[in-house]
Amino acid sequence: MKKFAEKFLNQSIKTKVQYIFIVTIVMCILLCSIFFYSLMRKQVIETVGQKNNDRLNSAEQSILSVVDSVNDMSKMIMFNDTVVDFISNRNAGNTNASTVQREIYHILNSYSGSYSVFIFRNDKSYVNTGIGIIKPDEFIIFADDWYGKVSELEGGYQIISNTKGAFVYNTSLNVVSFARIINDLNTQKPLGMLVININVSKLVADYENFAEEDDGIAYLDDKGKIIYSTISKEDSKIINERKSEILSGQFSEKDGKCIISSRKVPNTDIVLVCRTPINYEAGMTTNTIASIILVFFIISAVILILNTFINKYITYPVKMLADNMKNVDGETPPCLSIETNDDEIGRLKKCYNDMIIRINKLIEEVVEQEKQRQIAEMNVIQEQIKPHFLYNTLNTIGCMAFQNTREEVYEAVETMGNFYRKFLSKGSENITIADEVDIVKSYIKLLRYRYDNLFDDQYYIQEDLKSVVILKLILQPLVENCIYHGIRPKGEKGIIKISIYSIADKIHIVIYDSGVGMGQEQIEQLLSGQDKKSFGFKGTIDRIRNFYHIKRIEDVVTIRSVEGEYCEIELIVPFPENNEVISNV
Amino acid sequence: MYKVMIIDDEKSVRNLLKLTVDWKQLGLEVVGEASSGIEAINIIDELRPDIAFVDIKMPFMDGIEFSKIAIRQYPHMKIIVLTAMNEFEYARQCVGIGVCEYLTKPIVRANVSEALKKVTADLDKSGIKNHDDEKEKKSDKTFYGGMGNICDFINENYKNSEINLTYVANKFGFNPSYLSRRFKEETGMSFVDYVTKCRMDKAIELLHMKTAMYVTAREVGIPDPNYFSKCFKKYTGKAYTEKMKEET
Repeated sequence: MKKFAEKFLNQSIKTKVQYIFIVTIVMCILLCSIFFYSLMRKQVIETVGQKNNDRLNSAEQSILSVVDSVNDMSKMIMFNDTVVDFISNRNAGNTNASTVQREIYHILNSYSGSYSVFIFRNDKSYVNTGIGIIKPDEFIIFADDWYGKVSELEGGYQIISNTKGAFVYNTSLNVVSFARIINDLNTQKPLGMLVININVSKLVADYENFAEEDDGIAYLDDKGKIIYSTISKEDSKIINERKSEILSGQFSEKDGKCIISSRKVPNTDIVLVCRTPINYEAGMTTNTIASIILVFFIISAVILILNTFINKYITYPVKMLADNMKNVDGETPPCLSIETNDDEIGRLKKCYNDMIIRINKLIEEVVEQEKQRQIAEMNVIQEQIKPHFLYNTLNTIGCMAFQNTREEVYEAVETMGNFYRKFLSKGSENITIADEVDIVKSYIKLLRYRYDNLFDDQYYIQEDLKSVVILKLILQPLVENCIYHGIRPKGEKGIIKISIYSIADKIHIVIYDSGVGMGQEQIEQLLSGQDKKSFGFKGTIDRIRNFYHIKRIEDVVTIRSVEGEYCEIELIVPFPENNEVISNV
Repeated sequence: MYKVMIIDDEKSVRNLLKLTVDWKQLGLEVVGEASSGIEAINIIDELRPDIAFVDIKMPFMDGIEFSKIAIRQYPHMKIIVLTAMNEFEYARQCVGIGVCEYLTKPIVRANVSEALKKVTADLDKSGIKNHDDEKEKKSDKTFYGGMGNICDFINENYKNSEINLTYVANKFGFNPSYLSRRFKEETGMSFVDYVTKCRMDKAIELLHMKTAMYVTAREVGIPDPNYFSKCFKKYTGKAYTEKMKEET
């Protein structure tokens, strides 16, 4: 998982965006599908529930209408004179059973359907119509369940679904009984009981006219026994399992496949159970499918447009930026020239370009500085080795070998050796004042071999300063300047005086020459470094300033001069911090 | 026998060259030396060398400047630069102005001999010798007006350190030998002496004004105070500084 996430995060932004969009589209479609499915399912179930209810209603209505008509019929029978006579046991001669039967048939004729009518007198004699009847069980009929129950209604009728075997038909007729007590009109005393047996098929007939395939309905008696059922045996199990709930008439149950609910028909003890299968395909109407597809298309289109927008204004410019920035690998990265708007990407480009320009400038500066540094280093090395001086001195000594004594030649070689040993001194930056002066002495001695009798040299060194350490090679270049730019151009024998003394906590080094001197203008040029010929002078002063961290050039050097008379350079340097003393190298 | 002149501000180098090279064997002869370019210009007309050794780093007039003037005056003269400066820029300049050889110090005898052999071979080929008087080619040019013009020119231009016989001869369209001869005939004085006289008279004038020697030297067209001092001593019999002391 972690690896996968890492892999994903390392993809290009463009790919990431694509992935995110694909996932978004899939998620949207999935969520929509779930939403639509559950909505549709709910609707289908509602519809089926409604339909189930409708069917219960219609079944109930058909029962009630049958009961109504039976009620009418019962009244007609009840108030028929012949019947009244029979029940009240009057005119026994005129009212035999057959007369009563005839009267009843007469009434029955005006009603469709087949009914069997019983009129029981309290003396348990009875008249009945209808076919196929063998015999009513008087014992059952006059028991509390039957007669007792009905008599409590005080003239009202009772539908008894469970005949409890009161009537035995020779055919397998299934009947429901309509029963009411017949009272004496005057005394209101019960005379007997009217029972009209209604064929169950009559109750069901009206409903069955609009029943659909797969639908099922069951008619139960008050004990839950099935009177009539179109529900398959399999589905009927639930009726036995949940009998009490079903008999209460409030049962309603739905599982994935169907809805089953029950209802108690008022004024009867019949309980209806209706089962309607749930057909989900029915919910998949063309309209629904079309709207689902439309929604999918709209979502996809919105996401695509969004994707295109993001691609065009974010992903693509970012990719272009990134691709162009790859060129940074080169030595001088170029500026980006891609077109951008004045948005974050544009600002990014601008920042990048500014940065590149700055970087390039810095690189150039660094390269330039490095070049300058190398040149400066070369100059320092040249200055340190002084090749011209070495070559010229070698020639001089060579000439001496021909013209002078061996001792003189040896002395010259010795001087040169001494000079170079101290001059180079293992590259150390420090030197004692004694050694620094020694270098100058050797240098002057070697120069004198070359330009005979050109000048004299004098030294005034404060004794206790001789072992003090100062920056190396600050004296020799200045003495060289004195000779070449001061004394030689004058054409007369000159003098060089070097004085080193301390005032307060500073070391003063004064180099005096009796050369041609300098005018004020020339002094200024020399100090500002404009005088190209005196590289040695300016370089030395700068070296001193860097070494001792002295900012102002006036604090390091003072030049006093009278043109044609003399020049005096005074250097002022501090004592070394820890009064360091080093031995001779 | 070709004539060689050595120009270097260091006596030891001049001596070393004279001592270490077997001139005779190469068919050469060192006829003179100068310690500066200024001195060289002043004596070159007398010496008329075929070959000149020149140092680059010399005070008052460096070797390159001198070589330019020398080649202008003596186009056939072979110049060998001998310097401690082993720098490309100098070598490039030297080649640009027509220097034949570029040798570096310290002196290596083999290199010097080799360069000299090459140069003499070139001279042999061209067959021109500076000291052969080109038999007054221009002598037929009628000389009018006497030497007055030339004296005037010198009087006005002695400050120019380039001035010498060849310079003036070229200026006026004469052969230098012819000019030298005619000048002496007319004025009873050699050309060089006349120029020196001009300069020294002016120098004495400046000396009276207590002018420092190096300034005077510059003023009279001999900016090399050493050579000036030599000339002055030769002319007056006394050193400049000495004379200055006497004055006070």
